[in-house]
Amino acid sequence: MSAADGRVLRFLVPALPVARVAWLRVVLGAFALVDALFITNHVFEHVHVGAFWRPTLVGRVLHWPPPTTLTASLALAAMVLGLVLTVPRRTRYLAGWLSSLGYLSWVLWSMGFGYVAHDHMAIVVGMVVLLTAGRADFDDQHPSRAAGWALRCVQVATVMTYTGSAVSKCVRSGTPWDWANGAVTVWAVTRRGSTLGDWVGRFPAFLVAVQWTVLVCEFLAPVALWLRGKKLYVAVGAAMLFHLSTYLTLGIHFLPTVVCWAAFLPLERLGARRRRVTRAAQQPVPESV
Amino acid sequence: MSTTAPGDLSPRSVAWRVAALGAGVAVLLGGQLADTNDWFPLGSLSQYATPRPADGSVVSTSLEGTTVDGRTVPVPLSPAAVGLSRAELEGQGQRIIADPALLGDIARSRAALHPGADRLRQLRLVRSEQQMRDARLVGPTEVRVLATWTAS
Repeated sequence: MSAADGRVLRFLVPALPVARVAWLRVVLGAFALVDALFITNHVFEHVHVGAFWRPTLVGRVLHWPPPTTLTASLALAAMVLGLVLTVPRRTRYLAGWLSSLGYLSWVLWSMGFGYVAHDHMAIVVGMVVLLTAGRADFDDQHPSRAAGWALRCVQVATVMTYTGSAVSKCVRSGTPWDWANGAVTVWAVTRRGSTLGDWVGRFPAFLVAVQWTVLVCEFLAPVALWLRGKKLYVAVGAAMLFHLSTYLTLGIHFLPTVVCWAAFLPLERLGARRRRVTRAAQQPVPESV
Repeated sequence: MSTTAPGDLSPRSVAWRVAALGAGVAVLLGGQLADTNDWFPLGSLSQYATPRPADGSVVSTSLEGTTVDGRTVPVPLSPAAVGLSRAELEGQGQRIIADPALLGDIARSRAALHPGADRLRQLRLVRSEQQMRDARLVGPTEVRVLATWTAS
């Protein structure tokens, strides 16, 4: 294996602290519940329109049945239990499976009636790949490539949400510039405007500049995979500001993608800090290292 | 942190992970080219990807009902009201036009979700279109009934 091959492998399957997987499972598992209760809570209403059940490819391959009040409640219960069972060390691995299976069932139902929400790609990928990382404890700072690969997949899915949508714009328009020079923002604020959106809509030339910026940034999103330290935080911050602005102008929050940016952050330090505090409390003698 | 020497995975475990990641990205990009939602979660990411000409039109779909006592009522198009969202209904518009009996399912879903609401004798799928000039709405709204279901 050449040195270059080794570098590529270390990039695609990096060794990252196991604790980051443990924390990301909690972040995504908690968000999954928020999603089911407040964003895709239409699953309980979909129960009444079984005739419109049109599952996507994965649902058809699995012969997935339409939701019933019972099965939807079971999926929700699995997500709740998945979060609760994260607390005892012994049940942590099982907890990950409950969260993932509950949530994956839920999104198949949510997206199986003729509309697919494009902000769910990264979190759904995350709920699948986190299953491959095995058991993960919050205080386990050991680098693991199984953990690293799962985290890398969430990172790639997150940035590819932007790049993929930029590719889609080019495919739909035929050329990249037709979309950027068009009136898509004006059209969007007309359909689902807000006070801020209506005001912004009065500056079409400014909006064309915004559209160009959005398109270029979407294509460049994978650069975040190579950023470290402060530059990475700036990139994550920029993504947060972008989503905040589309929320304020169009009411589009994109939260399922937003939470996946957590995979870029050193979540493992949350556990390390708590452990240091506990240790300091237990032994007042300062550590020599 | 990615400066590990031995790692904890066998070459085979590394190989399938690299292959899976590559395949996932390839399918996702393929999903954009094929422009399909069917490959969820790796399908199209086309939200707001369609360019909108400033002199085009804004089209929206809605539901309109006639109650058993003959009053015409708008039927809100939301999961809370009828079990489906506007986007879902628009996604299955052709099916409803081909088989208007599906509107009966929506009427029954509405009745199940809102037992106190007036029963419907008829439910219609309506398309309204408004022209834009220089990205401003102009002219009257053109309304067309696409499909009608009548209670038997």
